[in-house]
Amino acid sequence: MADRYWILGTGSWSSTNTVNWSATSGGAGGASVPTAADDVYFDANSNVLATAFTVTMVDTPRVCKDFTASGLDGTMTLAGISSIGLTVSGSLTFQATNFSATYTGTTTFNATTTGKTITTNGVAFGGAVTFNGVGGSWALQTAVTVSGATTLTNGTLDLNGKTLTAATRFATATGALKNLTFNGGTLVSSISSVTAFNNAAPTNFTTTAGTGTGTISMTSASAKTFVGGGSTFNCTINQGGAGNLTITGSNTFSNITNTRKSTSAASILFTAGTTNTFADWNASGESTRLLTIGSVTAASHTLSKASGTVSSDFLSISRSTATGGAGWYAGANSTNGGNNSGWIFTAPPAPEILLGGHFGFDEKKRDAQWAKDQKLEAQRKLKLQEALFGLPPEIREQITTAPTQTIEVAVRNQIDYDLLMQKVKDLEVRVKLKRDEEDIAMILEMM
Amino acid sequence: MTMKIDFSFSSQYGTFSDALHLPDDHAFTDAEIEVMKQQRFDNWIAVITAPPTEEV
Repeated sequence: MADRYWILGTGSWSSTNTVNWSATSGGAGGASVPTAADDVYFDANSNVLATAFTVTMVDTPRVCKDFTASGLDGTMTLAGISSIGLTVSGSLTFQATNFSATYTGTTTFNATTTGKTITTNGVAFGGAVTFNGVGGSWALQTAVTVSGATTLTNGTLDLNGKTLTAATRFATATGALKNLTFNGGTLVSSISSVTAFNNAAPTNFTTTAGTGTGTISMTSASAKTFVGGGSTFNCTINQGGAGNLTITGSNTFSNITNTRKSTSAASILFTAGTTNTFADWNASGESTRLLTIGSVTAASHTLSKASGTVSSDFLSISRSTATGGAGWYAGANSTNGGNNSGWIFTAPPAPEILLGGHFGFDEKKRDAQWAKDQKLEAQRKLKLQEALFGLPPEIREQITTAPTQTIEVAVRNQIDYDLLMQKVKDLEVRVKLKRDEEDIAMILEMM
Repeated sequence: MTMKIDFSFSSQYGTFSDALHLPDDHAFTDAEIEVMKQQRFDNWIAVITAPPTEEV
């Protein structure tokens, strides 16, 4: 493992050219061409004075461990044709300024150990990006935009709370274990395609929510398809563009949303015969901007949610079977397009009622709780009366002549009458029965 | 050494989350940093509203 620094400005990054590589920053040339075990640096000493320069990748693939472009004082362009790829076995950092990546070949991340990072600082990958390292993991440190296809073959891609934009498509490919971790990040598929999100190799593909809420957002203004492959997606699937969103496969999602509703009507269509399961459903339309829920073909699909209440509105639903145990309320402003089952075309019942200090009960629960409270209160009153009856007459007289309000307070505080008696007796010894109403109130409030 | 400033924008397309990595001793004003954040967001909007076309 060695460090390799680019020098002398414009040149070719090839398998044979050693003129532009140095073992130190700004040092002499002639160092060996970087291997997959070597870190490469492009810095303030990579050019002549502060002039712009171009590093053109030739031969394929160009390889390195860490790729770091940082400290550049003249604009560096990393160029190459589409057949010339760059394989990074470590981490990658692009400089936010004075750096341009115009190469259109595939960038492959093939680390087989964890802890690698990707920091593009607003510089987009001009070509495709592939993650293909068994046991590797890569955490985004900034948003990442990939102009070509994004493919996850092996390893863990951790969005780390950032946005990964797959401008051509995001796909899984056959490999060993592959995982997409969100940690609050968003995967954006912005293309119109039948494979905009293509879980083509669902075997050994998993998703991890991590911290926060992750999202896969399908944003194209034209029709696009989410090929789920029957996997579990521990994230929200979002309709984020005007074009119809088709979801194929029987998948499981944490949630479904429709951010497009702020702008226009939209549609989410499911393949007939599939069952998609949701932990939450938050997809709604808005007035004059309905969200259409339907099937791709003239047959029904099934939506399932195990429990709770779906509280939606402004939907136009057809050929949809809602099931699983949840109450599927389409809302009072939704329309029934026919061939539906399980949907309730009304607003859901009020979720919370504030009365008597009880939160979150429906009316039946509230009434039952109220009756139970009344019964317990009566029992406590009786118990207190019995306790008072057992006291010496002079004590009982003073307590029972206490204001009714004080007794009520004691009852509501659910005092224990044995404790009451003990405290009264203790106080009796100490104050020699010289209590007045304030003493009694104090005793009761201490309970 | 660098500092990282995480930021997010909400939009009709979903949430855009990014980070600025700046030197600890950077001289940018708050206003300039806000401009940088906005530029990142604007560039992202430009990408997702004009994606490359692909044969269907």
